[in-house]
Amino acid sequence: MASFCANPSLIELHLANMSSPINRIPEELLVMIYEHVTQVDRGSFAYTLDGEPERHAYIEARGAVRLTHVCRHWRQTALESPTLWTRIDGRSSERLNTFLQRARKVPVSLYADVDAEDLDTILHTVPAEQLRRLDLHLEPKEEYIVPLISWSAPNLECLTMDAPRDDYPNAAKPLGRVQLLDGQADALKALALQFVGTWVPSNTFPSLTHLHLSFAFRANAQTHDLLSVLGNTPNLEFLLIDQQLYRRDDLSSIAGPIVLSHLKLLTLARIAYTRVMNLLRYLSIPEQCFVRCHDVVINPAYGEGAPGPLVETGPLRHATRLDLGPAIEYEFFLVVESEAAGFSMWAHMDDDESSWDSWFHSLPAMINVSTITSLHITIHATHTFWSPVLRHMTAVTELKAVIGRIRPTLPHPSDTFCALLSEEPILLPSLQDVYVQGFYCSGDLATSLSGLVDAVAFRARAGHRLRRLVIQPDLNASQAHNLVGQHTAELAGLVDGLEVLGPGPDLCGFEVRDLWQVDGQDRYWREDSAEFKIPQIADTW
Amino acid sequence: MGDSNRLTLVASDGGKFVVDKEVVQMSVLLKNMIEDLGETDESIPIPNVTSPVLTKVIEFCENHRTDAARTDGPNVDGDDARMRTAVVSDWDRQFFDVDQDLMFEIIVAANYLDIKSLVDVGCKVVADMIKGKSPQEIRDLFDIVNDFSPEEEAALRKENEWANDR
Repeated sequence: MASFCANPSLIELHLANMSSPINRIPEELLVMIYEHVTQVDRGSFAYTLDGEPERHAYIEARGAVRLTHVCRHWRQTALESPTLWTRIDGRSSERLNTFLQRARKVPVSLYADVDAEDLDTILHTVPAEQLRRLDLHLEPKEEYIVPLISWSAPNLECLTMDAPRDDYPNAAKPLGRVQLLDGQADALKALALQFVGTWVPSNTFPSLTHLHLSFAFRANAQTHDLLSVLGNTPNLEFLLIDQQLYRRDDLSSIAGPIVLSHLKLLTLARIAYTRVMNLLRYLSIPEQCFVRCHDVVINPAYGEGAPGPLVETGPLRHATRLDLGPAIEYEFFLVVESEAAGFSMWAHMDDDESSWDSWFHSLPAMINVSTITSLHITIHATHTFWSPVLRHMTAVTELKAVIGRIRPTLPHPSDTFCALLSEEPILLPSLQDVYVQGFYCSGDLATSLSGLVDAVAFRARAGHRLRRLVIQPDLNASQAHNLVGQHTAELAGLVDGLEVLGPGPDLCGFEVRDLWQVDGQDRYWREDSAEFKIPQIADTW
Repeated sequence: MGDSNRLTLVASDGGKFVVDKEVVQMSVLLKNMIEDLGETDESIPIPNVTSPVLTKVIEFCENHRTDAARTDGPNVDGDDARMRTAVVSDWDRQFFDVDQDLMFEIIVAANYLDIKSLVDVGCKVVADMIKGKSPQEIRDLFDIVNDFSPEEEAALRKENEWANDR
């Protein structure tokens, strides 16, 4: 300041700066602008559990330094705004100390990419009561946990630990129990342990709403280990468990179900099918909740045999919409949902000889299909379950069907579709609108088309006349109209509205949509949302 | 008796604007004023806002009159939740495609009238202009000159060493 006052030209420059339009606005507005510059999103913390700090909110926050280099007025305004300095990228000690000093007493978040020794130093640099959030990227060694056992941060709301997806040498051993934060986790609302090795926390977490548990490859995380954690999280709203692929699951020590009455979103990813069912069996979750079972595997290497039935769980009770995506012999994608609840499962058998067909026969016993009003399916040549399954779907008013390709020696899927529509006693008695894509594909057109006309006529005679029929054959536009045109008049007399579409956007394509965006799920970290989507179907099977 | 659904705002230069009450009530200041005044034909003076600025403010409010948040103010999550919901649309960017004098006058007027969405969108638009730019580029953008002494500049250079460190 002395040099500034001693230099009249600097004073003139400063005064000139104050006539700039942006420098005439009140400082509170200038600070708001700064906050937008330095924060990716103020409503949720931009952080991903993937060891990619370049995408983190902490990197954006470093932009505050650049603002202080524009002019004196900007520097003074920024330095007098402690909230600009609260997200600290602690990978440089000078930056850590400067940000801490500028944040004054305001609560801070800290990111560190350290080994165990450095972590101990950092933890004792930041006043513990000032720390609200701690994000650690760690080496895949067990020692890192040591500083976090005796250290306490009474106001810590979010703790994430993220390690590379490496093998841990002791992964096959039983999981250890670790009391974190000197046993003081009452304020903790969010905890993410990403590939952190072979232990689970044994704290009580009365405030925890977000929990992410991702285990090291081949970690021996058994159902009773997970339930021991979940039994200490009575207010959990968002839970993700990732990579539970051990061989045996000892259920003998489990006392009873764990009640998670506030749960909004449960994600189980990369877990063996039987383990998914074991978890669902021992978790009591609300009916209004979303459950995602993603990349569920049946593999003899994990001790898996033929899949047992789905465990009865809240979101399966009152669904109104069912999507059965790419259901082939060894893989399927199923979504059952209503406005306030949903259940999805992408499952596959790592054994090409096996089939889900018999599992689908039991669908009505596993899911309450009587409340489904909108049905979106693929009909594949190998499917034998549609008739007994559709028999229970008395409320379906809208059917979207993708017809799969023919296979030698197996029934033509178009014929299967027509047979279902004309089965007696009638299936889907409430059906009004039918959308069908890929009809006649490479099959006997004349026979298939006649079959469709007969099926629609049968329903009309039986008092179940369709309101709308939209067909998108696997033909070019002129072929479609020429070939279907012969039957247009006949069909038009049997349904209230008939449309024949040429090539274009898929009529019944399974849209790529997020499963699901539940308000609050990104509050502390962001998931790789591309993972949890209905995949686009390429009908090549 | 005039239309009870509309009222007249008077800018600092005397310009008069007849506006729907629903639009005006996006301003917390004016909403409270209307509630205090009750049913009245009186014009409401806006002493700190000129006609060109008020024209733009009314244009924004009319375009955003159906937005859900409006004057609901901070919800249970506080101001941060409001910030989260404020999305800058293409229309908003076009709206702020004006000279800098007018742009900042709009933001200041919105702050005075307590129109949270307009303040927020305005600040976001300015922030987007700043993001990714060096201090010199920011100076060039806003007609600011470097008023640091040589000693201070040396200190800033030292800051740069750790500021951009990994």
